[in-house]
Amino acid sequence: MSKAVSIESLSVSYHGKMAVSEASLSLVPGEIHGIVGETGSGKSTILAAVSGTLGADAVSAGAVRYGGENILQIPLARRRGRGIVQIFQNPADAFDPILRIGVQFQEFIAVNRKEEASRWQELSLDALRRVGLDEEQVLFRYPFELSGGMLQRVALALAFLGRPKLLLADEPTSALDIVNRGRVVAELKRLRETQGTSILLVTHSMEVVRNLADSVSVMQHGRIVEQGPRSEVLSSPQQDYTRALLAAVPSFEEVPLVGS
Amino acid sequence: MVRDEFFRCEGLCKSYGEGWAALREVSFSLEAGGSLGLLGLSGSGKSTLLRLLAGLEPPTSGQIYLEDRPVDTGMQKGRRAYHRQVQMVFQNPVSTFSPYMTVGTYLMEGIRSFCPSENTREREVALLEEVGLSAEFSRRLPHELSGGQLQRVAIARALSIRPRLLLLDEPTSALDSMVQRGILELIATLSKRHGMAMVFVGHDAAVLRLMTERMLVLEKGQVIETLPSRTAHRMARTAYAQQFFPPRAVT
Repeated sequence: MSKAVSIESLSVSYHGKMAVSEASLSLVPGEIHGIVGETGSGKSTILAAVSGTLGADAVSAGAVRYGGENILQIPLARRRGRGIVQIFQNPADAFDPILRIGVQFQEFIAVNRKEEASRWQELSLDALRRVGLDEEQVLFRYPFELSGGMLQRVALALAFLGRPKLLLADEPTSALDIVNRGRVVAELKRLRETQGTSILLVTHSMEVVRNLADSVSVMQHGRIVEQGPRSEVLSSPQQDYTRALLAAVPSFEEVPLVGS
Repeated sequence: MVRDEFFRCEGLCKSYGEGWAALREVSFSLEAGGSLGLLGLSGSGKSTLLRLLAGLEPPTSGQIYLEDRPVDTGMQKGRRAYHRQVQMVFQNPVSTFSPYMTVGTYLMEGIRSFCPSENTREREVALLEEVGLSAEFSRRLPHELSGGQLQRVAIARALSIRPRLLLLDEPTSALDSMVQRGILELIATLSKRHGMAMVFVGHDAAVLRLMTERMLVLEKGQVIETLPSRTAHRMARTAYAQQFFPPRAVT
């Protein structure tokens, strides 16, 4: 089967310091792949290499094959219209601070779904409802008036409207409580089912990986130290690092750290 | 009343504008060295409650007592006296640092303003050591530290004042599981060593269970259940509380 995206021996360094070293991973269409590992292990750098947002001071080698070509060295400005959408770790960065949310949705729809531009309001409300934001009020708000968790869901609604072929999601649930996390996980699955979207997901939550990912890469110090189907990696990890990462997740069975 | 109770709040209410109460009639007490978890969804009032406990906002009605004396944080003098005893650690460590201030300067400010008679350099090194960082971190700037290291520095700063109550607002929710566990173990150790009480806010019930003896479940600004943390996952009665304790799926 042809790949939706294929990352081959990707290395990225900043000022001589290696951020990602010889990383390879690929997704078939509709696959959800989770990247886990400690902060600073290179997870977000992989997403940046795919989306073209590595920055001018990055030196990269290897290949990111997408749509029949190596897009790694293609600048961001020439990547538009390829169906790659990224949701950033800090959703506030993705919005224009001085425009109301509704205006930003309207503009996004005018650019990405021209033929439906007149229906922008209906489309926006539907997308917001899917992420659990059921108030028309959201469209009248400025980004700073929304909480981190709300903004994260608004960013996701916008991503849904873009009907991406490949969604790059960096910690899409980090600011969400347990109910909204469940809702977002369900909507990401639905996006895959209805649009065939492939999703490359960076998260520190093993719970999100367990409930969402088909396959997993575990990163440590810029390298992928373990990779495979979710069930194999989570239930019979081969590497000590993966085992430690899983064992550190708090459980309801262990002895509490405080009290007698 | 518990004999060595040292912190109590009675009937705390907070309204923003007319008719909308963010917090309704919350009461609890805490003994010296005790620990309490606040569990709830976004908008349940747990962060509002924590802001009141931190003295960042006054309650609309109700009263906080420290050692049986009513707390008044309306005036600077009262607020300062309160902050000698009550310190807070925030969710996102990065936002609490100045990007231009070294770790050493940041710690020194806390030591100087609250304990001016101390040898700051000596105390600074001791504090870093207490949170598991070498003295060499003193010269570093925030961008040279990882998220977990920054959170350790934030804990050291809170500790520099020798508070009796530490308020923690999801201090590890942005960290991966191994770094999270390191920080949680550190907080538990320090709380025991210094007899420091804790109020721990979060929506990860497994984390709250590790870190507290009791938890209050908050919904729409009200306490709907009070549970012993250790058995909370079996004892939660309401559907609202139960959703925080999902059976872990086996992969």
